[in-house]
Amino acid sequence: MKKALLWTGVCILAICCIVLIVNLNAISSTADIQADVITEKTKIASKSPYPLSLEQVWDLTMEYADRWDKNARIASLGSIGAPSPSSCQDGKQQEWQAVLISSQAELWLTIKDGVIIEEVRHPVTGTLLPIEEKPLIDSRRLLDIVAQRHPDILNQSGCDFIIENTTSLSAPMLRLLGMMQGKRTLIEVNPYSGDVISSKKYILKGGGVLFSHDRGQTWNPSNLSGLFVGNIETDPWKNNQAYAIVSQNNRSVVYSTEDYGETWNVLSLLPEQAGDWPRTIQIIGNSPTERAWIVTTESGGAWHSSDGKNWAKMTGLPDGTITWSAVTRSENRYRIFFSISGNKAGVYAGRDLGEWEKITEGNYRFSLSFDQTQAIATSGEGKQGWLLAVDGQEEMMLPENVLRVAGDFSDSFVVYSMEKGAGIVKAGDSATQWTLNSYLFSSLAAAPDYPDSHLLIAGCFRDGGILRSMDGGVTWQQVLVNPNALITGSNEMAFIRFLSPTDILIVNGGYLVWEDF
Amino acid sequence: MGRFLKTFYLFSFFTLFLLVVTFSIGVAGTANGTFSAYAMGNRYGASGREVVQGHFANHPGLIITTTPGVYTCQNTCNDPGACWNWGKKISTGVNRVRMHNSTGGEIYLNMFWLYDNGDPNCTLSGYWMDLYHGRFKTPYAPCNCRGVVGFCYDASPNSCDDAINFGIKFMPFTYY
Repeated sequence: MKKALLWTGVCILAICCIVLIVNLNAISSTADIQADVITEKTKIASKSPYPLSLEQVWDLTMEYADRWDKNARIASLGSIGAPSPSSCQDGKQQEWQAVLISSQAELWLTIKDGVIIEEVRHPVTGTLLPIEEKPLIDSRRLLDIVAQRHPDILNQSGCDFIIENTTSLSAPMLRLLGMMQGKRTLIEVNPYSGDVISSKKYILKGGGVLFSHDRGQTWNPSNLSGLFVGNIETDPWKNNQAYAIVSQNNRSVVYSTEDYGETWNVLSLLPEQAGDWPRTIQIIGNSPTERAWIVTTESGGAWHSSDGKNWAKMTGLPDGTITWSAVTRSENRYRIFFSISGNKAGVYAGRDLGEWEKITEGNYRFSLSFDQTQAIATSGEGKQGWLLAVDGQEEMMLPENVLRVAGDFSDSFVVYSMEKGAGIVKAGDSATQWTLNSYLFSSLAAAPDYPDSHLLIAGCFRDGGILRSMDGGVTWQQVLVNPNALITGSNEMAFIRFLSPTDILIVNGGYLVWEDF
Repeated sequence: MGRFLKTFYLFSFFTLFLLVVTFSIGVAGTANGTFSAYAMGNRYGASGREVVQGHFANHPGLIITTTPGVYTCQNTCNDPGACWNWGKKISTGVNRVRMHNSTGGEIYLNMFWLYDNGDPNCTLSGYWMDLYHGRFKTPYAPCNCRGVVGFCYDASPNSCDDAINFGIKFMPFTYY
């Protein structure tokens, strides 16, 4: 008995030793990488193992700055790391980052509990400027100032405090970053007088829909422009119609088109509870008379409408954001798939809206086959994927860590891997023919007549615009270099949908931006 | 035997202690990332700071407060980096990134801190990082990078050229 116990102990110890060696290796390799930039680790307040206010960190940092270079000044000082829940009440945070500048270098300091735990020397970039005078407004006083104007910000989501001086500012600026009604909010205050300079919220903006009527050869801007488009979907029964879910005036708004994407009109507004960050839109039903709409949003869950105008929150699905969804169709039947993040992350499938089957754990994005009878789910984290259809699903192995797929999934299809680029996979052939790796594809789709036309459209991430292939991905032609010249957005082509073999829609993505309120 | 067991248990305890300590220190990790580059752009990043060289952006993570002090990050883009806090540091190691400072001098950086977000449509996959290359342009050049109007400083180099020259790179990196 004693012997068995001893051997068990020896085995556990051996495993522990291996893990220990691996850990120590990781730490030492970290040190190797940092060796050329970290000059020393210095304790400046070893007796302060507590969260500190802006003023306290300022004093500690200046004490250190004097020792580093008499002429050094703080250019930027702000709280970082996990937000302290009491920070909006006491103005204190545990971790801070300061940037000191001298004529020779920028010194990026990380401070935790009053101790400089790291310093990295950077060359002078010329954007940050020294703050010559110590701020008169501490983070604790800043909270009082903000409380008078926007008390809603000071909740338990935590507050960050920043003071910085840059070339763009006429004087240093003190800022409070918090959350209000689920949105990041920024209040700018003069650090000497306490005057509020501006109040900003972080919103989605820009982007829109472009259309083509000639198989993707030329592209035009639609009137859906300047608004963040969360996603688009074509009507399965009317090829002149499509729907877009859009962020507009703090709401999620459904737009529709009946002229192949040229003009778009508001169809309906989702309830306020749905939020204003729309993620997906799907059309379900087994026939045109049963047509219904499903919209998912970042923080508002999934919403259902049988007329496209009146919306009800869907129940029965686990909590979490549905970032990706797809509908496959076959013989007047459909099946909807949701990829849900959160504690119960996974791919869920349903044929009606009452019962949901969890297919797999984790988050997956979906790519539809040319005829929408199948979808391939890819995680972007490995070669494993799922082939999804109305009647069932099966696990599949992809040639690489694939992000997008398009084509005829049972014959030949084009895959896109961020590392390898675009490649062609043929059924029964284990080799992949890689054909293009000079662009990041942010979207990819095959024409409804793909087996005959071999037409593919790819949208690029910033550089590359829109590409077209007429030979199933063997060669690619750049058909639009700068989509932003037509509709201003991020120049990141987010989604492509074919209304017909000749009519195509593409979404120029939007961006997040601070806007005064 | 008893003495041997005592020594053995003491050694085991010490090893386990070291294990716990190294686990708590060993928050660093290495991974392969997709690096893109941006320039000019918004004046303020998602963190509320002016975006400067040395900053990077990644996918936004939605932080939810369920109970006071308890945070859940809803990683909607399925990006392991989306839930990093502001100030998260990454190193590209020997792969130093070439940029220009305001006077046109070449600078090489291999340490970057997270202070911005991008790709809200989640078009790219996990461990995507967007390295900021600056907002400098020559006085008569437009403040426009890849068709996106931004916020710029007049100087001798053009940061957008640096960002375009960087292109896309797949590199190993260390996060701390």
